[in-house]
Amino acid sequence: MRSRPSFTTGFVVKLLFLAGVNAIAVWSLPTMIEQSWVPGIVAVTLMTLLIDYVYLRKRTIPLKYLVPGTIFALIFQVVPVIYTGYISFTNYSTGNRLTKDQAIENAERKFSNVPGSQRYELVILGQGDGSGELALYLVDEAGRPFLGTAEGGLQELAPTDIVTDDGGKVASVDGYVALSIRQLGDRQGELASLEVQTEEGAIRAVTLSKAAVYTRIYSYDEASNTLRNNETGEVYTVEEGRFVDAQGVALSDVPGWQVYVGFGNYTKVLTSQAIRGPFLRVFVWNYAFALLSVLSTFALGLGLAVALNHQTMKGRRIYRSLLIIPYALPSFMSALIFRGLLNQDFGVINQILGFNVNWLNDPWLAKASVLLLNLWLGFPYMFLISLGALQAIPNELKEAALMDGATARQAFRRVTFPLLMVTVAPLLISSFAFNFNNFNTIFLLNSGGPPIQGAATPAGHTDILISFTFRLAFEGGRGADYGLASAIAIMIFIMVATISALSFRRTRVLEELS
Amino acid sequence: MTRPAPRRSVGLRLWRWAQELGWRHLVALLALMFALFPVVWVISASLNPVGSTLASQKLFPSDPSFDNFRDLFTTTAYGRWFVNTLLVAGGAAFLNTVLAAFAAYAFSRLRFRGRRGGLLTVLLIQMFPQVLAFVAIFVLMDGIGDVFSAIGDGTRLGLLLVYLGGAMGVNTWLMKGFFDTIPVDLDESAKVDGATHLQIYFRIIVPLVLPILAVVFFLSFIFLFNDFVLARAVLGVGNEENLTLSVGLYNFVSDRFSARWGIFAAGALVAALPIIVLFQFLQRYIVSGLTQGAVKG
Amino acid sequence: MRGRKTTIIGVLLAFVLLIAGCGDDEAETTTTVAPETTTTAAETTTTAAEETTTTTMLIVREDADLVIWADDTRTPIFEAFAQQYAADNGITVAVQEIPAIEEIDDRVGERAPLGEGPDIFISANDVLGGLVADGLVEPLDLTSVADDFAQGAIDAFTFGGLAYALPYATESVALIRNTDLVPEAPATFEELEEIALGLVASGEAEIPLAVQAGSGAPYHYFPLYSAFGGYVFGTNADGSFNFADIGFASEAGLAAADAFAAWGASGLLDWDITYDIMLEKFGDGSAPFAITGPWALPSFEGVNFVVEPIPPVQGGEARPFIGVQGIMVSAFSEAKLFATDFILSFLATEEAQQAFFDADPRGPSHLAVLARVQETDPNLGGFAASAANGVPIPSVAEMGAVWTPWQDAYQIIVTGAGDAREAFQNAAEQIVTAIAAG
Repeated sequence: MRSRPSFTTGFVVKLLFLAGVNAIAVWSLPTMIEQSWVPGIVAVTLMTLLIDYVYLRKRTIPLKYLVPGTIFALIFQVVPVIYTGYISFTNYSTGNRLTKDQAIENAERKFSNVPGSQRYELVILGQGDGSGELALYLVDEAGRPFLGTAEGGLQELAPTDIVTDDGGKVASVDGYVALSIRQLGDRQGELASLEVQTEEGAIRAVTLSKAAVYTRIYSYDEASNTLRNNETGEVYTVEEGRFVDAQGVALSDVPGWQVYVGFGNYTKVLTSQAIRGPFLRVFVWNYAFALLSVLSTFALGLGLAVALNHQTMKGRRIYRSLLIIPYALPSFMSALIFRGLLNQDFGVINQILGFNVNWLNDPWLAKASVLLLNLWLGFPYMFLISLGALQAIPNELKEAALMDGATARQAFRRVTFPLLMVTVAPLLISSFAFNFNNFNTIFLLNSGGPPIQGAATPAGHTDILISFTFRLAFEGGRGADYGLASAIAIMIFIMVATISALSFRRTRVLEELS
Repeated sequence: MTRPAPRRSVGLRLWRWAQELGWRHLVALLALMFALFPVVWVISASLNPVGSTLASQKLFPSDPSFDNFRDLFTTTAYGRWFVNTLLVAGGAAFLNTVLAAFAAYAFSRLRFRGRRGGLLTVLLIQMFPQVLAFVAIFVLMDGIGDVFSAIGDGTRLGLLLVYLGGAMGVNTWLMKGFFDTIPVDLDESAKVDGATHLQIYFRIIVPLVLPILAVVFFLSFIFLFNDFVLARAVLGVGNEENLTLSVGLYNFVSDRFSARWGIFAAGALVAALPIIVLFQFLQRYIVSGLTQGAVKG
Repeated sequence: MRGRKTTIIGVLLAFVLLIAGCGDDEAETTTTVAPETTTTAAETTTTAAEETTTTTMLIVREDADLVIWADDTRTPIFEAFAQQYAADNGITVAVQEIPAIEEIDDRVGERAPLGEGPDIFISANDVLGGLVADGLVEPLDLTSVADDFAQGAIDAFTFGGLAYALPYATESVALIRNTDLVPEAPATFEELEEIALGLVASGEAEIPLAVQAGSGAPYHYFPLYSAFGGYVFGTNADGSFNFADIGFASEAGLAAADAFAAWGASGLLDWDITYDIMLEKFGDGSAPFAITGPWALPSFEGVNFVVEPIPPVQGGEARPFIGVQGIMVSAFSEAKLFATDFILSFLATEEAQQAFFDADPRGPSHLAVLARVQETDPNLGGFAASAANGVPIPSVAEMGAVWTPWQDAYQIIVTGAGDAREAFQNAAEQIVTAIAAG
C-alpha cells in the first residue's frame, strides 16, 4: 500500500466532489438559519461532516461505498418514517390541522351581519399620504357622508370636508387621502381587522366600495383559555385541541389545532372494539394474500424464465419482451381493466366463457380475482429477477449433475434451485412485505369488497389490514385522522418487519452471509 | 444438448424437438395469452375515438381511428411528460444502479462491523407502507424547497433525488447475491498485485456483474417509470410541463364525470414502448453467456 | 472497461449533465405561460390586459395579487372575468387550473396553511363542513346579492349561520326516459318498473334501468330511498343534526330496504352497472330509463330522450340529493378584500353566472339565469324540476362516516347477499360507532 496520497485523477475528482459538498453546505446554512429550520440545519451539518470524515480518511473503506446510498436512504426513507412516528403522537386530523393561534384568529374572524342594519358606500382612506392610520369614508343609505376610524368611531362629515377629483370621486377627507390600489393591496390584512364601532355594531369593509355593520360572534379570553359566543353568551373550554361546550361536544364551525396526545392513537387502535372485531379474519386473509401472491408470481415467473432460458430457442427474445408488457403498463389502469373484464353481467370474461360467474361479489371468487390480478401484475417482476439470477449459476455445476446421471428435473431441483434461492429469497421476503401492504391492488379492483355482513365496522372480504384500517382512519366521524393513520402505519410496519426478520432467520439467509 | 443427438427418424427428431424446445414454445404462447389478453382491451380502447368508457369496452370499436394518438401529441403536454419521465426515471435508475452496486460491493466483499445488521435494515426500512409516506415526503420536500428551490417540491430534480432514496434495499440484495457468486480469488490475486479497492471494483468486479447491473437498472427504470405515489407527492398535480407520464395520464381519468379513457389508453400504450424497446436492447446483457466469463477467471 | 478514470469521469459527467438538463428546463418552464391550456378562452386572452393575467397548471401559488384555483371547465370563465377585474383595478390576477373539482379542497388543505394556497377557489357543498372545521374557508357576506340567488343554493353553503360561498351551479339526478322506447311518462315508479321489466322481457331493451351502483349508489339511489321518508341524520329541536338518529334504522329506512331488496331481485337494480356501463347502455338505446345527472347528457346524443322528475315511489315523493358548487375565499388569503370584491361585484352578476352555465350546463343558482334556462332548455328544465324538491347533501364532516357503510348495505341488499333490514340496521350501527369514536 502506498504511504502518501498521490495526485491521481481520482484524487482530484475526490477533492472536487468534497469541495462541492462543502460549498453547498456553506451556501445553504445561512438560508436555513434565517428560516430557523432546525432539522435542516442539523441534517446538512451532520451529513457534510460525515462525508468529509469518510472520504478524507484512509481506513473507512466500507463506508466509502455505503455512504452515498445511505444518505439518500436516510433523507427519503428514514425521515418519512420518523415524521410519521411523530404525527402518530398528535391529533393531526380534519379539524385539527392548524396551530392554536391560527385557530383562535380564525374563530375571531367570524362576523355576522346585523339584520336590517345600514349598508354603506365606501372609500378607503389613509392618513397623510395614505400610509398613515386607516379610515373609512362612508355614505349611508340616506346619502349622509361619514368618516369612520377605529379610534374615533363614526363622525358625520360636512360637505366642505370632502374633496373630490375631476371624475367626482372622493380624493381626500379631512387629512385622509383615498388609497391607491397598490396601497390597498398591501394593507388588506389591516383593513380586514379595521372596525368602526357604532351603536348598531361594528362597521367593516365588505368589498372595496361597500361596508356593512357586523357583530363578532366569538371572542377568545386568554386568561381563562376559553372562547365565548357573544350572541348566546355560551362559553367553550379547551379539550384536546378543540373548543368544547359544557357537554364536551366540540364546536363544528370553529377549527381545532394540533396537540400532542401521547400514545392516545395507539391505545385507540388497541382498545377499539370496532377494529378488534374483524381484525383476526382480516389479518389471516392479509397473510394468505401476501403469501399466495409471492408464491404464485414466483412460480410463474421462474417457470417462464426457465422455459425461455435456452440458447437455441427461436423467438425467445420476442417472447421475453412481450411478457414484460403487464409490468410496463400503469398498474392502476390494469386494475381498472380487470375490474371491467370480471364484471358479472357485462364483463368480457363471462361473455367469452359463457359463464355467469359472480367474480367480484362472491367472497371466495373475489379473493381469487384479487390474486389473479396480482399474479398478472407481478409475474413479470419475478420473471426478470429469475432470469437475472439464473445467469449467476454456472452451467458447469448443472452439467456436472447431468453427467452424474441426474435427470434435467433433478439437476434443477438439486443444483439450480437451491443456488437461485440464495439470491432470490431476500427478494421474495421483500415482495411478501410489499404485498402485505398492497393497498392499490385491493382498493382499485374491488375496494376490499364484497362487504362482510354484520361487521362492527365497515370491512370487506378482500380487505387487508392497511385498506381496512385506513378506511377507519380516513372515514371516521370527523373526516380524515392522520394521527390515527400514522399510528396504524407504524404498527403495521413493526408487524411486517418482524414477520420478515423471522422469515430471514427461517430461510437462514443471514447465516449464509458470514 | 450435451448428449449426442441421434439422427434416425423424423418422428424421433420431432419428439426430441418437442422435448427440448417445443414445450417451451407452448408455455410461452400460453403465458403470452395470459399476459396480453387484457392488453387487447387497452388497444381497442385506444382506437375508440368516442371512448369515454373502459370497463365495457368492446373488442372491436365500431369506428376505429388513431384520433386518440393524434390528440395525445397535439392537445396535451404528453411529449413533455415523456421526456421528463425518461430523464427522471432514466437518470434515477442509472444512479440507483451505481449507488446499489457500490453498497453491494461493500456488503459482498468487505468485512466490517454491523454488516449483517445493515443489510437487514436497508431491506426492512423499505417495508414501510408507502401509502402513508406520501404525507411525509410532501412535508419534507416543502421544507427542502424553501431552502433549495431547485430541488424542492414541484421540481423534477427533486423527484429524482427522492427516487435515490430507494437505491439501497432490494436492489442491494439482488446485486449482493450476484456479487457473491464471483470467486473471491479474483480480487485476492489482484490485491496481491497491488491494486487498490477502487481498481478491483472497477476493473474486475464491474465487468463481471454487468448482467445484474442491467437487471437492476431495468427493474428500477420500470418501477420509477410507472411510479405514481412519489411523483404525485413531489410534483403535485402541478405545473403541466413538469409532470411525469403516470401523473399526467392519471389526470385524464381523475375527473369522475369526464374520464378520457381513450386518450389515456393511447398514452399508456405509447408509454410502454420505451420499456419494451429498452428490454429488447438490455436482454443481451441480462442473458448473455457471462457465466462462462465468471468461471473462466 | 476502459479503466477507472474514464469511468468515474463519465459517471460524474452524466450526473452533471442530468442536473444541468433538469435545472435549465426548470428555469424555462416557470417563466413560460402555457397558452395551450387555455382552450376556450383563446379569444378572451388576447386582450390588452394580457400581461396582467396568466393561466398555468401549478400546485404552488403563483405570484399575483389575486390567485384563483379552478377546474378545467371553469378556468376560462374565471380567466375572462379576472382579466377585466385586473384591468379595471390595475392589479395582477392569476388563474390556476386543478384538473378535477373534487381535488381542489384537498390541494387547498395542503397548500394554504403553508402560505402557498389561492385567494379564491371553487368547491362543493358536501365538503363545506370539513373546510370550515379545518379553518380553510372564510365567511362570505352574501346579503347584498342574496335576492338574486336560489335560497336553497345559499342555504347549502350556510354553516353555523354564516354563508361561505357564492353558488354558481346546482345539480341533482333526474329520470332520463328514452322516448322511442317509452313515449309516455310513467305516472308512478311502479308503472315505470312494469314498463322497464316488460321491455327487457320482450327483448326490446337489454337492461331495465341504467343507474350506477358501487360507490355512486348512495347518491344515485337516494331519490328511491327518500321516497319512503328515508333520511341520513335526524334533526334536533334547534335544527342541528342528531348523529345518534341514523335514518337507515328508522321505520322509513327499513321499508326502503325491503323495496331495494325487491328491486334487486326483480333485476330493476343491478349492482354490476358502473358509471361507464350506465352511459353506454342508455347511450346506445338499450335501456329505457336512466337515473343520472346533467354531466351524462353528452353521452346520450344518439338517443331521443326527455329529462323529468322521478315519479312517486309507492306514493312517496322521490327527492334527489342536491349538490351545489360555489366560489369560496381562502381563510389563509392575504387578499381577502380583493377576493371578496371580485366575487361580489364581478361573479355574482347575471352575466358571469350565465357564463358559468354556458361552460358547463348544470342547474344555475342565479334566479334570472335559471328562469331563462328553464324556458329554453327542456333538459336542464327537467333537472331543475327534479332538484326543486331535492335535499341538500349534509355538509357536516360526519358524512364521511356514512358513505361506505351505506354503500356496503346497498351492495348486500341489491345483490341479495343477506337480509335487507339487517343490512340497513347494521349500517346505522357502524355509523354511530364511527361517529362516537370521532
